[in-house]
Amino acid sequence: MKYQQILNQPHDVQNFTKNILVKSGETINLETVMEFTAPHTTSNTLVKAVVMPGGNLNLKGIIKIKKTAKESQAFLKHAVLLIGTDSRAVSIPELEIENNDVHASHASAIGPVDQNQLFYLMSRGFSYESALDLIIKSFLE
Amino acid sequence: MSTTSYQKSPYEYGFSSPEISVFKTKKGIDPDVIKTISLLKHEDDKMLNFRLRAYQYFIDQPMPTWGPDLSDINFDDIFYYLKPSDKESHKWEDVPTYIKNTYDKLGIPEAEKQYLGGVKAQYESEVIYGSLMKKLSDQGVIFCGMDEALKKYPEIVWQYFGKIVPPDDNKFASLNSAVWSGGSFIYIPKNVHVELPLQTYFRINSQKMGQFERTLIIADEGSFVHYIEGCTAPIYSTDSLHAAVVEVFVKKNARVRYSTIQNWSTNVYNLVTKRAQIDEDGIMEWVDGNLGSKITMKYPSNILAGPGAHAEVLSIAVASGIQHLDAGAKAIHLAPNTTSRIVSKSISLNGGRSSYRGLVYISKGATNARSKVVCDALILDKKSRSDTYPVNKNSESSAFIEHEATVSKIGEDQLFYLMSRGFSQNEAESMIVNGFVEPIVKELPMEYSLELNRLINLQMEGSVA
Repeated sequence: MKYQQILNQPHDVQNFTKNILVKSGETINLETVMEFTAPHTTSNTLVKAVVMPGGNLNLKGIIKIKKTAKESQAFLKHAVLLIGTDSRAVSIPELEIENNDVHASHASAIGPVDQNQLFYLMSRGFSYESALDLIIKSFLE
Repeated sequence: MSTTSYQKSPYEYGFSSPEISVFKTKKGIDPDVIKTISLLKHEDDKMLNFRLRAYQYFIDQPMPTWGPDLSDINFDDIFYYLKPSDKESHKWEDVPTYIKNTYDKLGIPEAEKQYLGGVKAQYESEVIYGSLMKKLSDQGVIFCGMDEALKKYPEIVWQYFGKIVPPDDNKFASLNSAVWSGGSFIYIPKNVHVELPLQTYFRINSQKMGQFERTLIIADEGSFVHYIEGCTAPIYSTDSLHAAVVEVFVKKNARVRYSTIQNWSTNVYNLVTKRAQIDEDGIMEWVDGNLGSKITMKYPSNILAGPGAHAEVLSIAVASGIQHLDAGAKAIHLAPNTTSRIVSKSISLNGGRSSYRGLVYISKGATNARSKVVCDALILDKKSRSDTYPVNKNSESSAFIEHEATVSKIGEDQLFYLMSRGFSQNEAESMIVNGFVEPIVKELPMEYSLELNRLINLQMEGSVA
């Protein structure tokens, strides 16, 4: 899957949000490209994913800000939850910034389910499976 | 608000001494040149074969297709070996005067006077001056030139040499393995703490010169050492090549800190392979300051091989003018409970380009591993550019990778505040930039952090247009 957007109109705002559930045995690739060519443009990319056991996820997120795109703002976030023992994820967030008068940033996190959340839910009577299910659902909400 | 234009200050270390070499190989590289180098160094067949094998890998491998443009390097137009003086000296008085003059300008004897652990200086290809405080020798610490180590301690050297950076690792590691000369060898015995930093200076003094030093550090169980290297070169119209290989072995519970202040002149291609293997509960720390060179490609790598190993990389890049500094770090987690932290700060000004390129890989089975990467970039003017190219791979679901990067200019409110307090724009900008790199600079010994701050200020000196 590839999603590409060029922000070539001044004051353009483009956001991209995607929630992905990678099922067991599945491989999903997603590449996003946000290219800024006009001034005062804004873009936010948010990708959230849950990778089930045996699943594979490859994320790539590129932000390119050209010289002509002054006072633009760009943000990209990859948040990935790995479930079980055989899940894999790759996150490649890239920045190519050619103008100094901008604010560009990205954040990426790949990790397991928060054990405290799991413990809390289980202490309230949920089984392990239903607690996990609840956490995954709320994460992708 | 008025715009600021920055001017790169004159390169302070740009003096050159007349080139007086005892021996110089012909230009270019072929098996004969390699045989000559090996012969001059009185090496045995084992090292000669190692060199020739590496040469074949060098020929076979393509140039890297990623990263900065290296197409201007002409391998046939480089001198691969220069021997400036007949033998390694152990007393400062024995060093030939013209070389001494060069080092006097660099302030090496001063460093010695200040009781720093030991000083090795590499001028052109050979280590020409090295001294080591007696106390260290008594503790069993070995700190000598790589060539000397190969002769005196061949069994230790061959046990580690080329083991984490094999001769076929990449084109420039192959080139280094084929024509390497000089560099440092450090062995720290079990449970020995070297309190004072060990230092090396590298300097290129000839045109079209290649410098290919090889550094090997072995920190045995429970030991500690801090190693510092500094690099300078005079400015010539033609380019020089610096392709070093550094291998560090951190044994169980040992800790190694490796600091570099790289200030090559802006005609040097600085293409360096640095790698460390960290065993159980070992700690490896890289403090990497990149200020000079035309193109730098340097990614200190950490192989976290034992449970509980920790790696830390702190890196600064200041790219100005024609400079393209492609620096970064790698952390490869192969064992449970390993942790790594990478902090990169880059500043681009006056048309310079700085890039962060990094890799974090957590293999399956490296349970509860954690890695955090933070990259901050400042772009000071319209002509400059900054890039971030990280790769985060996680194959272990109990492990956690975090990565964040920001790119921005100097905050106008910060600038306004300082200027309202009476600082000029230049002073205020210098203060903000020095504050920006502070978390890394403070990790260096005091005289080096002062030096680094001064170098950054020099690069930033400009005028309000």
